[in-house]
Amino acid sequence: MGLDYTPSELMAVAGARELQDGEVVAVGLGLPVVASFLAKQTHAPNMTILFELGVIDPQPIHQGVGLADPRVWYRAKVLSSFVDILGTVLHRGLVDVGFLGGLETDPYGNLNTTLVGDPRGEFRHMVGSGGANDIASCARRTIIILRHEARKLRKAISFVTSPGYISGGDSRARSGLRGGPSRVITDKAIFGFEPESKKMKLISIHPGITLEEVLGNMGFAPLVPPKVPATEPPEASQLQLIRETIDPKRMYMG
Amino acid sequence: MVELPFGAHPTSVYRSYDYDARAIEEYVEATRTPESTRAFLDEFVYGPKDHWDYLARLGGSERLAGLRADPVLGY
Repeated sequence: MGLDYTPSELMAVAGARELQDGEVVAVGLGLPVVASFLAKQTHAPNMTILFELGVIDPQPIHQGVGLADPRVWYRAKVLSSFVDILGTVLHRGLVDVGFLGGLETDPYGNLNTTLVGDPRGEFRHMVGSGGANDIASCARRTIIILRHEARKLRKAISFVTSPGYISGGDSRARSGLRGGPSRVITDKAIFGFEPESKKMKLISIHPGITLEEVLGNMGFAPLVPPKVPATEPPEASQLQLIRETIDPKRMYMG
Repeated sequence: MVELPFGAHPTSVYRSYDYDARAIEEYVEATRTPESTRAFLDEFVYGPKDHWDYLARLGGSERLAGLRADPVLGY
């Protein structure tokens, strides 16, 4: 009998496992916050968390409603500004990982957090970009976390807020950008990117989910290797930290 | 520069006062219909004769004291 956990909890744990001790991580709003604090409180105590609005390495004891809530700035090593984090830290290449949520992504990990619909016709503005473009452009690698739905994993997205591998191959490098997306974590699977074509590639499927459910809820066909392992489920201690310490009010975990 | 106490209400000023979650929730609730939006604007935007009257309509010193930032936490 395995542990009970929600898809969001598995996503947060999978995200935390991507982060290594000692890394500098620029963290976006939502699940990336939970995943980063989880990593910091487990295997990566020397990781540095950055919030784009100028918060470096906070140790919150209360939950905030967003990154502009002083609750998530508590005991920050430095409180500076957008310009400092995006300009002098990120653009100098000092950030190892950008960790972003989003509305839509495509086979090359280009990410939309700006609007849905057709910008020439009917569309709805959403919350982005904030610093998402800068983070995806300048971090050494980017982790994307979003729900696994055909309307979110699309062949072509409504708006490119944050460049991934653009049109694949070496198009990102030719555009003068370093890094690129390394992982896309959904509530059904984890994807990486094939090194040559830079196309999204299935690397693990969450326990209890079938390959058909993964592929049937996507707007494009990812590369699928002959054998796809199951994603490692969360450990009891990770679930306990998420539920009791990091997100007790379930503000991020839904 | 002149300080206007609670001039950022319902948002916060770090280390001075917290955001007023109740006021923000009430605003969101009020904007669900044109009528309730108008009533809200009349009460808190067009109605108050000055900033002090605005603060008094919120609940005055008792309400505002609850928003004062804790000096250690900053919120």
